Amino acid sequence: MNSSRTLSIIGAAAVIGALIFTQLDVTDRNKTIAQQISTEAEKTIEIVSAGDADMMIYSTLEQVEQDADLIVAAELVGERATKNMVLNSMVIETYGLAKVKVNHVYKGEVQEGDELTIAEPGYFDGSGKYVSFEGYKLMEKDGRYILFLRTGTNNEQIVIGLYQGKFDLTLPKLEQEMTNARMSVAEFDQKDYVGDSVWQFNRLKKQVLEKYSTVESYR
Amino acid sequence: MKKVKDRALLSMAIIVIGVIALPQLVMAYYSNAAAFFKSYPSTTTVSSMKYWTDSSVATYGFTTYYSNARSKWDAAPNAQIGWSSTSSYDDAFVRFYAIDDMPLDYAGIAKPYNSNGSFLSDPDLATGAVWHKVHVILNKGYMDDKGYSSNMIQKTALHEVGHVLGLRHQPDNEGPLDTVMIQGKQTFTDIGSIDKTNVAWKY
Repeated sequence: MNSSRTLSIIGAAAVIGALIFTQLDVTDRNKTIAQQISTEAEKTIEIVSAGDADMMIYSTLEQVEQDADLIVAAELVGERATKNMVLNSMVIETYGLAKVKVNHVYKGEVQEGDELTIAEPGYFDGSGKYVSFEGYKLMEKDGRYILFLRTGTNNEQIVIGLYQGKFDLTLPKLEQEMTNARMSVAEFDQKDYVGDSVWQFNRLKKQVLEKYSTVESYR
Repeated sequence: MKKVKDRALLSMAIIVIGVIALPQLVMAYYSNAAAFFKSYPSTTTVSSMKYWTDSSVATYGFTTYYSNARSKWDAAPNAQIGWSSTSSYDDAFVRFYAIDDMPLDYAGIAKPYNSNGSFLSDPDLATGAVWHKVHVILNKGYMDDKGYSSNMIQKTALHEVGHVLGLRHQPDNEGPLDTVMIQGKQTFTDIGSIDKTNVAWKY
């Protein structure tokens, strides 16, 4: 009788112990996840300028459309890369390379489903800094983009007017003036443009949203 | 009668204020400190800038454009801006290049670097960075594609050399301004009155 009572007490203690252990484990895991989320939120990105460029400033969307060989709705697929331009054995320029899948064609000789290589005027350097040409923000996996492109050498597609030829339809809010060259990853992810010509970018983006926010663009 | 007189006076006042204030509002541009990046080359550096020219500049026919651009900034009144050519790549503060097949949509670019050879934090936003070198590139492929005339190429060279002096872009939403620091396909053979005033203030 005594031994069965002892066994019951041991059994109950084991069950309670296991429950407490499990609960502690879950709590620890939750803490770890919370810490990871908080660390992600605290991570910052420094934006550096690849230089100050002079190029055409487009006052209307029609001008951008006229200069583009291709106008497509597209999404990012595949891995990113960077490429150096070498002149007389010296690297004088670096840019990003991104592969996109065409979801809809508005202008040009490509088909839906085609993959294009985009020469992106922005990239992450070896130290994790984001290098931008005139505020161009690189494309993200979740984005749905309207791209205005012209074909360069090596079949790389050039984004018209650096930041004036790429617009993310999933970020319909217009951009705000930036006051700091450093921002959180979360802030960076919510931006379609990271430069000083906010007025110019917004002027074109408004027109793009009005004209290209169609069902076809979001496929 | 008095009411009519009052209205007439009020209308006159509005017209006078409009005539005086409107051009100021329309022609707003950056002057003095606001015309410059938050980091820029030192006064000593600007007074005697050594420059090196890559062979690509002659190959693509940009030698005279760069030469004119340096001379025009050099001649800005009341500003100590000086240039001297060097054959030493390492000694040069400014290095001039030209390229034909760049897959980036710009006519020209000026790229300031720090002493590690890294880019500076966005000089429009960050203070304190030291300009160690500046690379200037003219992009023949872009200018050919967009049908740039010789005076438009000259404006691009003047614009990029303006960046070498620490000048930032003038606002592009303010209509025609007498400055080469506005972006775009424009015709200039010399720096503008706004540019002269700004470099005189700084250097």
